Amino acid sequence: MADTGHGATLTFGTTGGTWNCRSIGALDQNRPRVKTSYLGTSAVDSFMPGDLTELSEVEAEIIYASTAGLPAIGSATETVTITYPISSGGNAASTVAAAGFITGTSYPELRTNELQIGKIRFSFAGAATFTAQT
Amino acid sequence: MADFYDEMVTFLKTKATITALVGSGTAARIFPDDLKQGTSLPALTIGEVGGDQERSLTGPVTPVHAIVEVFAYGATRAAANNLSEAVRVAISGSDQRQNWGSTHVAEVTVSNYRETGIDEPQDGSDSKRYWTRMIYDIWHAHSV
Repeated sequence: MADTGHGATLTFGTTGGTWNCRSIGALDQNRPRVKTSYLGTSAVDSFMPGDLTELSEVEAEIIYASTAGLPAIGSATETVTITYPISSGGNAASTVAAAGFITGTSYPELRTNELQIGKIRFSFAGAATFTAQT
Repeated sequence: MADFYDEMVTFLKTKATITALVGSGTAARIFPDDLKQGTSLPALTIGEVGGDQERSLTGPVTPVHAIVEVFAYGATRAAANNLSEAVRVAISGSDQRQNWGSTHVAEVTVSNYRETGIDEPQDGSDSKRYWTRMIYDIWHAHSV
């Protein structure tokens, strides 16, 4: 069934830490298309699937805590897991996980009347595995 | 964690500029939401009129954002303004990050500056009651 994102978590297997995420950005997976049109092609361009699927970086916004700071930018891969909230009737949450690494972090902007929001960006090193909710 | 209203009142009672006007201790003329009938002036009322609590994906976070309305009452316009200003300086002066009792206050800003008015005399009296209203945005720690 449809659901909101509330309850989702982000974990780093080696880096660790508890990150109060306000949002976890979308993971885009795209297979490029290769145009195969030639001078004899009629009406519409033709395409074929590219060889490799491209994965986007993912950016998470976190409620920044001065006691925790931000994680180190990764120089080695670790297991990165996005755990989805358990939808109605479920027992074990679905996950998207794979080896990955933190590609960047942003310390928060500092403004009156606004919470400090930090950012963590990461990339999976290869194909991410989806495990369905049970 | 102590109630925020109680912490705010206790904090105001530590300020000589406030107690010189409204009295001190249990006799201090600071009331929640509305004045007690027959209260002498000047006096304060404090009301929490909204705000929000930020959430992460896994639950509420602290600090919370409270919108607090303070009415300063006086027998004259000057008296009401003077009391209102004393409160403004006490809670939103230069050193805004402070502890009100056990509650850490991260930020106090004036979101609605000085609205004034009068309450017309009630039956049996010919005395007007002047009031000055200020609204504050207060970010303070709160249990989650």
